[in-house]
Amino acid sequence: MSFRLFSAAIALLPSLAFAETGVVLSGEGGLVIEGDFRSFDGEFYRLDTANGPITIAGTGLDCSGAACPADLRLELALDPADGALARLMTYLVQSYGAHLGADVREFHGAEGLRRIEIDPPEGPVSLAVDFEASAGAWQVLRRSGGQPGRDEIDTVLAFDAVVPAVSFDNPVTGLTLLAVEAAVAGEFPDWQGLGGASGVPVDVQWPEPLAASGASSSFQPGESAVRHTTYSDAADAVARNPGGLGPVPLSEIANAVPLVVTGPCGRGTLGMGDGVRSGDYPLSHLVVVRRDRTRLMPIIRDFLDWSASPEAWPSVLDAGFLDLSVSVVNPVRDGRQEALGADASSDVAAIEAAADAALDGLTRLNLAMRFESGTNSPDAAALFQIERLVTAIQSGDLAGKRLVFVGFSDADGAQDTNAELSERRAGIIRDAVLAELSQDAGAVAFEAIGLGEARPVACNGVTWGKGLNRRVEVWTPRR
Amino acid sequence: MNFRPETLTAALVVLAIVLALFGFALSWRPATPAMPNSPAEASVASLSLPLPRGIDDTNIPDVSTTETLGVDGLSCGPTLEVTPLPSGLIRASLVAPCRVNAIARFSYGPLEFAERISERGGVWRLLPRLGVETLRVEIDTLRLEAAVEPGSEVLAVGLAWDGPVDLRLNVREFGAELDRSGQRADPPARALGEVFHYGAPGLGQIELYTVPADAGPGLVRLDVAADLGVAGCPAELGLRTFMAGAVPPKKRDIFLTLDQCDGPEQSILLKNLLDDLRLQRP
Repeated sequence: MSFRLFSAAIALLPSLAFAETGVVLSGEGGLVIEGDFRSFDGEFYRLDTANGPITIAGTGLDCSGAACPADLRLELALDPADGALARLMTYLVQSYGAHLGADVREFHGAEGLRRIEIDPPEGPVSLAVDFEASAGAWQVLRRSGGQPGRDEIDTVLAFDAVVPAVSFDNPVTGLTLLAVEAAVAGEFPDWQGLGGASGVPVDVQWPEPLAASGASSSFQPGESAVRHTTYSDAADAVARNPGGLGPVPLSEIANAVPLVVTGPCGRGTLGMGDGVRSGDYPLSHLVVVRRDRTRLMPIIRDFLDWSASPEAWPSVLDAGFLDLSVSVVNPVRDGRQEALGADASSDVAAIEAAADAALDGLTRLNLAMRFESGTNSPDAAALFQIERLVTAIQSGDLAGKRLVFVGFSDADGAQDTNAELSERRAGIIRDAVLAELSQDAGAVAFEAIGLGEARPVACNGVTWGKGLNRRVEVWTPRR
Repeated sequence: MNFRPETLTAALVVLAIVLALFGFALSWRPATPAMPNSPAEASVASLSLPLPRGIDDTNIPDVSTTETLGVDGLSCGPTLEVTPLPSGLIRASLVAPCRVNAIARFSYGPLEFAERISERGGVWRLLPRLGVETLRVEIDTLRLEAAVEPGSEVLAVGLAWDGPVDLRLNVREFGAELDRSGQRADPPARALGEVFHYGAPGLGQIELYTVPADAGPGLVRLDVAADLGVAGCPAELGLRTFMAGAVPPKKRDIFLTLDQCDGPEQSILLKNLLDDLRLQRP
């Protein structure tokens, strides 16, 4: 039987099961409802009773009678934007099935169709997940900035980033974002102008999916770029070529190596680990499932909730993405690169000394909230970071801790003003977290301070660097 | 010629001695351990016999399993031994000289395959050490076990299937491209892994890639080439992919419709069947 015929046969199962009428629903407290069966959508029964039609939630109800649904297969279509995202969703679906103790089977069908079926050990409802770009399919994509449309909702599953990747043999470890863009555009004939070896040509390996993804619109390939149909092919070509350079997602970097992306002052962050989770890295992305706002059947809702929960994190890491875990940043491996030339001004030294004193004995968590340009409104990514922190607090991971919300500013304006502004922003984030927590704050103490333009993570000489520096971090005592 | 009776007597004595020695030679067999008596003994045989060496396969009779001696005078056994080897490998030695051509079903963690016992009276296979304590073999109703001592493990990724389709792993280690054979990396700058094949058509087969657990960091890409052969195109196939060894075990049961054949060879490259192997920094 072909995959399509098989699918068609499966699609018929619910209607075949519901061909007769006459059922009794019974539940706790002596609840008994008799009637003619009309439908069951996985959550609600619809019956015609002597008193008229009723709709009742099926949770906790036993159904008896020939018309009771013996099998209901719900279908969900996913449309991952590329191979890495398909891998992530495959791992999540498989792991969710294992979490349920379900029988999990995978079908690879004609024309690249793929389906994973999950049959839980209990209950009449099973789930079939198709990987296809059909109408109504949930999109799985990387989101760098804006929110979904009004009728859409995003569920964040993981972090990822676009990184400039080079060969393991390339001695260059970091470039300015401007230099990366120029090199990708073909403006550097060899690596000497980029701090590398002379005579080694810059061989740009361009992944075509990047242009379609919108994940990083600042990169435009030159005419000499070698074009690849997949991220993985581009990453492999970079890894094999000592002069190779290609912007690829961290999740697809495979055997290539990411460069630190800096500003003109030399300050920047490596696009890996906590540098991406905290958004310090300028090309960080959220990986989201985007769907419309229609009501979800319980097993589909449960799958989505589980996929965004800590239980799913091992699968996220397995798939090559960064999980959503909140943890203390190891300062030795935080990916931050300091400015090339030390700023010797006494003003800056005083600000940094004050920051050192304020943060003495504290350590940073791997999250940060940033603001819309010129406002005190947290940006879209910050809203998720607040949600992430709230989840960590509610889980008890931070019980007994003191959380210090530390505001930082860019270097524009007067120092006093920046200090006040950064403290105000720290307070805004603290209050937003408290509002989300409501009564669930538990034994966590909250504090907000502002340190102005101290401890920049990026260069204030460029717009994107200022944006990264206007942030609120969360610090906590080391012990 | 003068006939002397003592001469005849001496000749007869010599003849008798020669005949006696010849008869003994015909009937002689090396001393062998006794067969296990009880079913319990038979189910976990623990005899230790040397491996047969230098046996001419062409002149070995098919020996009945009811006899106590088999090929080359070896005990019928059967016996199963596991020998540790370097690089995270073990050697499984099944000696069953009285069960030539019988099917031996091996089970070692996710490795479940069957081999026909050779004319030499056994099966000898290299296996990766996968952190599983026991190797099991079944021959008809007989069950044998051998302990696998802990040691260095490898990472193993494989696929198991049963059907008339020939599947082959394409391995690209650490960014390498395929060579002409399609099976190995080119250039093999850091070629550290091995590809094994177990089983036989009609008995269930396994194609397995193993690599030392400390070979990382890096990524090994794994694709599957399917040669449909007698199955023709399109074909359907059930298979299991798995990952084992020094990683949390994983498996996927996959039902495959092979319908996009690329020419008269009826072969298909399946890129999404196996997970690439991500090796962490040791």
